[in-house]
Amino acid sequence: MWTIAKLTYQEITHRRVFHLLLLLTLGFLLLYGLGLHYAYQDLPKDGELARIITTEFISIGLYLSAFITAFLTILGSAGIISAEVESGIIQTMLVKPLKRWEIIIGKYLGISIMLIIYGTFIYSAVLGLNYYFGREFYFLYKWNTLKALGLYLSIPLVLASVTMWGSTFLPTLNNSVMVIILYGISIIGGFIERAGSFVDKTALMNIGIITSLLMPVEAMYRKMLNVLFRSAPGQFTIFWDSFFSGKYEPSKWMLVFTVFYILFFLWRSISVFSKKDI
Amino acid sequence: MEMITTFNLTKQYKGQGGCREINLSVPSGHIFGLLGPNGAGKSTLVKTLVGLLQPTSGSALILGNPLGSYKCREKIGFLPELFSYQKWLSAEELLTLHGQLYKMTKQAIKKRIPEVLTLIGLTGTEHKKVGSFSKGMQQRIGLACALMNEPKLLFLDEPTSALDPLGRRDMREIMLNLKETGTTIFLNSHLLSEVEAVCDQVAIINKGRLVAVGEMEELLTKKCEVEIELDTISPEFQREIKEWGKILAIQNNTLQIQVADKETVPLLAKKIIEAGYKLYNLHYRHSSLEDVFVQLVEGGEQQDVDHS
Ligand SMILES: Nc1ncnc2c1ncn2[C@@H]1O[C@H](COP(=O)(O)OP(=O)(O)OP(=O)(O)O)[C@@H](O)[C@H]1O
Ligand SMILES: [Mg+2]
Repeated sequence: MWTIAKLTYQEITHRRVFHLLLLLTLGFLLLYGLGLHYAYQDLPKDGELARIITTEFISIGLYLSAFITAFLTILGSAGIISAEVESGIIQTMLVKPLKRWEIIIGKYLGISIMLIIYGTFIYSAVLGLNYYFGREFYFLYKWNTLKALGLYLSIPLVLASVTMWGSTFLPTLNNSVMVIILYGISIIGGFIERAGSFVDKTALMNIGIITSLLMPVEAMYRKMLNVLFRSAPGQFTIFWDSFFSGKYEPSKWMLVFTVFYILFFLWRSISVFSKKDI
Repeated sequence: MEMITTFNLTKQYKGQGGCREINLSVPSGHIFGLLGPNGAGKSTLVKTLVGLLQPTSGSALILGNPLGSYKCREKIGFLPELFSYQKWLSAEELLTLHGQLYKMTKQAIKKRIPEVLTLIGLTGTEHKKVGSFSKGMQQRIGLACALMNEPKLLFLDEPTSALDPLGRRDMREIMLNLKETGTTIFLNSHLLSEVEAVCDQVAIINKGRLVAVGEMEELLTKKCEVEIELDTISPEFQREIKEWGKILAIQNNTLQIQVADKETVPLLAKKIIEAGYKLYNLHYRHSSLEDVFVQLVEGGEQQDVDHS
C-alpha cells in the first residue's frame, strides 16, 4: 500500500501539468503579493477598518488559491485509475500479491500527501503575504488558523475522493468534466445559499443545502473562513460578509457529513474497482 | 503436482467473445503452449487465470489456490500482451518497484536486479529511463519484472511480439533455461514455430473453445503420412494398401498414404516386402504443428458453416 502511495506521489509530481500548476501558483502569489503591497500602502494600518480590509484580502487570496488547488486535484487524479487501465500499466500491478483496495487506498494516500503539502504551502503563503504587507494580524487566533487549515485541506481531499471514484469507471477526460461540473454546482449552490441568507428566503437556502450535500466543498470553504476569522475567546469578532466569504456558517454536522462523504466515495471506488475487468 | 487446473472456466464479455468451458491442467515443470488464431480467446484466458478478469462461470486452481486468492501471487510472474510501464522510472527503479510489490526484502531485490538484467540481456541500462527504451527493450524489461520474484509459474502473453529474430531466439533460450530451473511456463502464442520449439504440451483454442489439448508429441503424430516408392504402383497394390489407411496421392511410382500411427510404419514395410513388391524408398513424415493447427482451426470453421 505504501509502495503504491509513494509511486502515485512520484508519478503526479513528475507530470508536466503539475509543473505548469506550480508555475501558475508562483505567478499567482507574485501578483497577489504585488497587489497587497500597493493596496496596503494607502490603507490604514490599524483599527476596525484595517481588520475588515485584511479579512477581505485574505478571503480573496484563499478563494483563488482554493480554486487552483481544486484544479490541481482534478487534473492530477482524473486518470489515477483510468489512465493506467487504458495504458495497461495497471495489469502488472494487479497480479502482485496485493489486494485491490490497497491500490485504491495507496493511490488516495499518495495524492493526499501531495495535496496536503501543496495546500499547506499555498495557504501559508496567502496568510504570510498578508502578514508581511499588512501586519494587522493580532485578531487571528493561531489555534483557529490551524483548524482553518484543516478545513481548507478538506476541499482537495473531498474532490480527490470523488475523482478517484469517477476514475474507476469513466475515461479520464469524462471524469474531469464530471468532477468540474460537480465542483461548479457546489460553488453556484454556495452563492444561492448566501443570497438566500441575505434576503431571508428559505427556498434558496434549501437549494444551497442540497448542493452542499451533493458536493460539500463550498460549505467547507465557508466554514474555513468562519473559523479563521473567529476571534480568540474574549475578543471581539469581526467578520465582513462579502462575495468571497459568507457569514452563514455550516454546522458541525456538515463537517461530519464531509468525513463520511470522503469515506463513502473511497468505499465505492474500492467496490467498483474490485469487480472491474481490466 | 498440477500448477493450473481449470474447471469449465468461462469468461465472456456481455455474453459473447472471450473463452468458454475451458478444461485443462498444466503439470509442474512444463512449458505449456496455448495456440490460437487472433481473437480466439488466448489473452482472455490468461487474464482470467491471473485474476485481471472475473470469470463468468467455472473455476480454476492456481498453485492449488482458487482464482482471486492473492497470497499465491508471490510465486507468479506475468508478462501482459499490451505491456506498458512507468516511463519516468529508470530500469533499476522499475525492477525495484516490482520487487517491492512482490514483498521481497531490500537485499533480495538488490541481489536479483543484476541477475534478471543479465538474463534478459539488458545489462548496462540500469539508469536509463524506461520511456527511452525501444519496444523490444520494453518487452524485455517486462519479462525482467515478471522474473524478479523467481516465479514458480510464469504467464507469457505473446512474449516475442516486439522482438527481433535474435531476441526471439534469446527468448526461447530463456524459456528453456527457466524450465531447467523448475519454472512452469504458460505461453500464449500464435507463432507455431515458437511453440513447436519449446513447448512440451499444447492446447489449441479457436473461437473461445479448446479444440485440442495434449502432449506435443501426441498431437503431432496424430496424423502420420508415409510415402512409398515401388518399381510400379499396380492397381492390385492400391487395393491391398487401402486397408492400411487413406491414399492421399499417387504420382508415377510413389504413393502417399495416411496411416493410423507411427507403429503402423514398420508393419506396413514388412507387409510390402513379404508381398514381394520392390520397395525403393519409404519415407515417414509426421505432420508439423502447422498442419495440425490449420486442420483443427479450419475444420472448426467448416463445422460452423455446416451448423448454420
Ligand atoms: N474487453 C473486451 N470487450 C469485449 N470483447 C472482447 C474484449 N476483449 C476481447 N474481446 C473479444 O473476445 C475474443 C477473444 O479475445 P482475446 O483478446 O482473448 O483474443 P486472443 O486470442 O488473445 O487474440 P490475439 O491473438 O489477437 O491476441 C475476441 O473475439 C474479442 O473480440
Ligand atoms: Mg491476445
